[in-house]
Amino acid sequence: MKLYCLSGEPSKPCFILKFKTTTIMLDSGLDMGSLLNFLPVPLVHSSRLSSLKKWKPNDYRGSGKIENELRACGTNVFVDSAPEFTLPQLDILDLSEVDVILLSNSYSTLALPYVTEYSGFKGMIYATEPTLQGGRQLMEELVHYVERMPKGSTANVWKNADILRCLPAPIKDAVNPLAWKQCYSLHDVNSSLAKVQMVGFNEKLTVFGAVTVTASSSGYCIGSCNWSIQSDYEKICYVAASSTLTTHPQPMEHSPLRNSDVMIMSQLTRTPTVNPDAMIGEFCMTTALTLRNGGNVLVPCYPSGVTYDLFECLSVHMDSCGLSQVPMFFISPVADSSLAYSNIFAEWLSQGKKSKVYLPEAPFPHAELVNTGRLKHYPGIHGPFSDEFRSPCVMFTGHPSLRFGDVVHFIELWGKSSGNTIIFTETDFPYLYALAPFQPLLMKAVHCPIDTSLNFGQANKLIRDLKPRHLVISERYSHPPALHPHRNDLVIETDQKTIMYKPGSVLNLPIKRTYERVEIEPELAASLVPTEVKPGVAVAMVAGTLVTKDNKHVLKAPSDPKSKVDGLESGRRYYVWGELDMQEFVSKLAQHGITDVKVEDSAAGHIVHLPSDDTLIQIEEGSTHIICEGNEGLRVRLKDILLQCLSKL
Amino acid sequence: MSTTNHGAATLTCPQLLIAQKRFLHQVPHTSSVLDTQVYVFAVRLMGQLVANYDMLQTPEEKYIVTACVQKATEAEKWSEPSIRNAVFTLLRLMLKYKGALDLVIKLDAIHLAFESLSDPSLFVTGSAQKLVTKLIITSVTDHRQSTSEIHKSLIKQLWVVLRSSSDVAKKATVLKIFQDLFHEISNVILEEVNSLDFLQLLNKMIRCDSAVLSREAATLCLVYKRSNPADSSLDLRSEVCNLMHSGHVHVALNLCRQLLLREYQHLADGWPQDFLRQPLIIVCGTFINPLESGQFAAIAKSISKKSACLEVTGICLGGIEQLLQQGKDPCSFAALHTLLQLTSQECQCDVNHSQYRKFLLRQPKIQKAALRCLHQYYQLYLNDETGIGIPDAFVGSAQYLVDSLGCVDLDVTIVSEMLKCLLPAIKLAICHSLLSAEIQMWPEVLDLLGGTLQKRLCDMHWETRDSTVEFVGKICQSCADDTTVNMWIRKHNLHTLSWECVKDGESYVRAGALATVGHLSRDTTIWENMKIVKDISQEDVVHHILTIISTDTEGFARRAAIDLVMRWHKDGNQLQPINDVYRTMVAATKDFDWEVKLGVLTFWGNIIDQVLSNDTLPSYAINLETSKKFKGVVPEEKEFETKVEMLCSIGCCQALLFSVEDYEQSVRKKACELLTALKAKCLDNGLIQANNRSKSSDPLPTCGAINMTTPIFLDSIQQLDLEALLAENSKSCDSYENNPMDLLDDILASQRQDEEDNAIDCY
Repeated sequence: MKLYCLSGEPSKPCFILKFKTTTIMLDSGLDMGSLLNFLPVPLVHSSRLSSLKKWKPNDYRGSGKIENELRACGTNVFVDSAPEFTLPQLDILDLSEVDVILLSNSYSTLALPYVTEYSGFKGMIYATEPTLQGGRQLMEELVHYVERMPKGSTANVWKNADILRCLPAPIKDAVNPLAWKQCYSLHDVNSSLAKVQMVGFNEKLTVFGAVTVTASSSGYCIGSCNWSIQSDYEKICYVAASSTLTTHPQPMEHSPLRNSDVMIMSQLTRTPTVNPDAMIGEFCMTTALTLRNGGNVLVPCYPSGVTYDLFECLSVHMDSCGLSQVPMFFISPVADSSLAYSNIFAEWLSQGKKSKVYLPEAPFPHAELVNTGRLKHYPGIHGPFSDEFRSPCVMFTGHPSLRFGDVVHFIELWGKSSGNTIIFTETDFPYLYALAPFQPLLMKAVHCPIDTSLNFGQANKLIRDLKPRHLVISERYSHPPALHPHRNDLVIETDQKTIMYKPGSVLNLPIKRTYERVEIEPELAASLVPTEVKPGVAVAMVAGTLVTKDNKHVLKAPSDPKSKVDGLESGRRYYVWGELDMQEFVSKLAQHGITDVKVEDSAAGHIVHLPSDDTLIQIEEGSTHIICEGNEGLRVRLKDILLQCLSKL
Repeated sequence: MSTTNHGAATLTCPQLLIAQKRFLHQVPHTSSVLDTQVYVFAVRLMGQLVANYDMLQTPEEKYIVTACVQKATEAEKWSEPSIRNAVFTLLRLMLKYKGALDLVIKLDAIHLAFESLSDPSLFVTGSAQKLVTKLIITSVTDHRQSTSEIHKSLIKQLWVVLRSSSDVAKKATVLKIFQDLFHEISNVILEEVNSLDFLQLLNKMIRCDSAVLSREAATLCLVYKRSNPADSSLDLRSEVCNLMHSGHVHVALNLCRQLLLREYQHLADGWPQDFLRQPLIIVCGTFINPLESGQFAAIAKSISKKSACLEVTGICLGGIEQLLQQGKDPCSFAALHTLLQLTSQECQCDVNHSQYRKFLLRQPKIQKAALRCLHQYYQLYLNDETGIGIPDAFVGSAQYLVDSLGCVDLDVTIVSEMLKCLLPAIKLAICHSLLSAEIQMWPEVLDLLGGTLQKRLCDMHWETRDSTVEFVGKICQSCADDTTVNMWIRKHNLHTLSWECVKDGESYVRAGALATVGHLSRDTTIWENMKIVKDISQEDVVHHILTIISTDTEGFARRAAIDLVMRWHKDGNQLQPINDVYRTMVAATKDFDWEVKLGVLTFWGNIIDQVLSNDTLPSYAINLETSKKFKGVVPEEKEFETKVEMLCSIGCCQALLFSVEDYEQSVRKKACELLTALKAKCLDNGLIQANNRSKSSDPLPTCGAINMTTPIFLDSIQQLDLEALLAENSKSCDSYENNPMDLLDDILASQRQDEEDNAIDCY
């Protein structure tokens, strides 16, 4: 049993598990950190960005033309090219061998088109309906942003190792930029997602009869799940982004994950030192403060997930502060479908939200906010938005990397005023580096990271509760974060046997398969004659033909009647068993004329001495030795007498 | 039927006394059908009566009391705690009269009182305790032979309870009785009880497991010592030391705390405060005197568990707060500062090594108690004009407050306590010029505080927003004269944000913000800057305040807005456009909230005083800025009629006439008072004639239009019998006082409703 760790970023997981005869891919996360090395793509022409100074290393002597590829903004250098993404290490093995892909939440689906398209992939993809729809929205938004303002050229010269080492940090630390890929197309997205089969929580799905996979709620976002992969005698659990906090999704289920042989744990919080509740408070306070001072608030966000909670909490707080009249704008190509879908996924939501449906009310308050005109959503800044836009306002828009999307326009628009504030709530990108190409920026930048996934304390508690025999975690979780080297509480500490993985690792999971389940055909089962060997335990001899199909083993009656006769009648062997009763043995010996018998107890059993025959019988558990100086006749007699004293099968 | 307000029936006039007696006489005879509450009422009524009138004078009266009490002690009624409470109270009050002790003995009330010393109802326990105490004291002071020995028997009974009862609650009550008795008759008790035995028993009880019993026993020790200061067998200091060494640290510290009370202070010479400081020193991990190390070890051992640590620390802080309130410095500022850091998660300083940090971290009770102490310290230093006593840790403590205040998930009550502390801290810094740049840390602290206050003014919790805006108001009220603070308020936009809080969604915050706006507006620099930053004029501000008065849904906010208008009017701020102000105030006369209406009437009262004032401005004040407040209100011609005309034209007179008919008595009363004063002035000035009231059926003018003419107004007040109205509205609404006969009849009649067709509901 092997586990291939394809992703370098534990929060964007991608594993391949080889278990029994199946090859299962667990999640398909896309690391978008590479985006930060690129210049933002403005929606309208930005003279500031286009006038940034071209940059090349001082001592560059190479042949490639690098002049048009890099631009400097302050001390940072950015690539002036179409943005590229860091893919999982998909070349480790042949993707056409993957039988099934299990997706745990919409944020872990973004690399799916790279896996399923043009790779020979022929397997199945399982995901819950909200994961599918959420993933589709995220991909569509991404493709829309990237394709809306296409860059004419692609820069590749800078990726040359000779040049790369001359670049300033952090771009010089880019890992294997040659493997970075440009964004997929909408066609690829649709083609990839068409292969997804929707599943429900706790629905048992068989993979080629070899293993059963089941999704259980993970409480992280709508439809997010953890997976348990079970054979008849082994169980592997995959714990992806999970949350024990009470937010809008259905709460996390623990029981399906208990007592596994191996638990693979990923996607722990990236902000372990902050409390999401406190950050929501900080977000609301900062927003209200900015609005009261007459400024605008810009929130770079994804079109779903925590954004729903932000709408809810902020609207309540704005009401409370007397700011009800301030509009909230939500701009995304998928804003409409995101808001609509969230309110029809009632069965995937928390009990409180679910019960609202029966009133009947919309589960999320943003439906009411939209109806009353407090939350206005638009696919982009063009068209009707310009008629409705007024300031001050709160603007929710993408993309959180600040490299493309409508957010770039608003930073350019509001960045020059210190009265405005940009609040970062997403944790995928370091906010200071995200803001780097916009410097100098007068707009206030506030960091309120809201990551509801498990923190280390919660994860340790969960591990204690679930009691896996082996735990597989990223080696990053085994030592404190770099920014908090002394926080020894920010690690996974467990008594369970722990296996660490690094990017690209191939782990041999320590599961020794001991048993296999075999079914006996009813006809054959009816012919068995069980013998009770001890209370409650009966055994029987069986002979049949083992048929293996679809990884299921069935023992059938032999097709040849002769062999049946040979097997059961003529060729029948008896097995003796049980403990030797010495008194019975001595009396049997006497019946056969051997009366001079001395019995001694030994450490291992008994020694029977027949002085008249100069013979010694050593009786031990599991073996008997007759030492009779070559008297074969006597030996056979003694053997037969001894066998008479044992039970037969 | 309900019978609330029993205690209000205190009747003394002969007619009422007869009525009461008649009622009480009937009660025992109708008791079988009477509701228990009515019976409770009757016994309480009797209690009220005997408070001022001896009900044992005549056989008939004595019979009423005896019958009433006997009926009350019947099993069915006695099971009701209110009855037991009422009977014990009645008997205690009665004991001041001659023959009462005999009656109490005859009624077997002593036995009942002893049984109730551990009653489930604390009220009953209290009244039984008081009765037994009073019985003993009365017996001691009553020199008649038949009852003079009662106290001996009672003290012996109490002593038996203390020695042999297993009922902890009863023993605690007996200890309380002894506490009361030692105040009055110390020598008598010690005649009956051997002092050595007594102290030994107390010593044993102090060390028992019951917190209540040990507390009461410790208190009794103090009472005993106060009554018998010469008794060397009880050395309180040794007792406290022993308690600490035996692991009863919390009892010892409670004893020390009690010794800080004024009444016991003479028993100890400063040593209790040393004891109170010791646990604090231990939890803070600061220097320990080797000479006292044994005691410290005992304390450390006893606080090794979280609950004990929190309890002991809480007692210490309570004691320190007590000392500080008395103006004494227990010299524990540094320890207090360290303790606060221990309780704070954000603190990353060297306090982390304390083993008690895990117990104290984020404990709201400890945090609040420590903050209260800190507040008292700051107040103490504020009172010290020299500033010599200000410790080095002062700035550090203020910085701690500011740092902690920035923590987002802080409890709202902690935020409030922190802000309370910060106010004297800033005053202190101003008083002793600590705000100057010479003390390098302060500008940073103030900057951080400014940013934090900005956020807190927009906090998720309205309580925090409310306390923060109130804090800004207080800072402005008390420190805005200081240039640094004034600039600081403007730099951090605290004035503009406070103004924005006037539009807050929570009424308490709006009300608090309006009060703060009042303080802000007193400082011209701040106020003018606020208007510039927000790009609003004074008219806009006034208009917004008037909108709150007219349309706000909550009375708090409307009241605060009216207070603000009054303040501005009083301060001479420009209330423009003034006609809009008058119009709004006239409309506010119809408000649903009686307190708003009283506020409006106070406003009109101020206007009347101002307009009718005979004082003219002195010549030197004519051109002063403050004289502007009279413009638009006081005409150049001081003719009285003109003044009244003005009052009519602005709607004041009409509002007053409307209020005379208000459905709230307090509003009617206030309006009558104002109109009476106005009418008197009109009479003095000959605008109306005395005794010229004509009966008119015309209704009083309504509040619809402002333009009420002077003749109509004068005619109206002439018609009104204001004296009678005022007298009527000044009367108490107490029904008993107005017509006790009918009321008592109603009570009895309502119990006979089965016999009569017409049930009368007395309420």
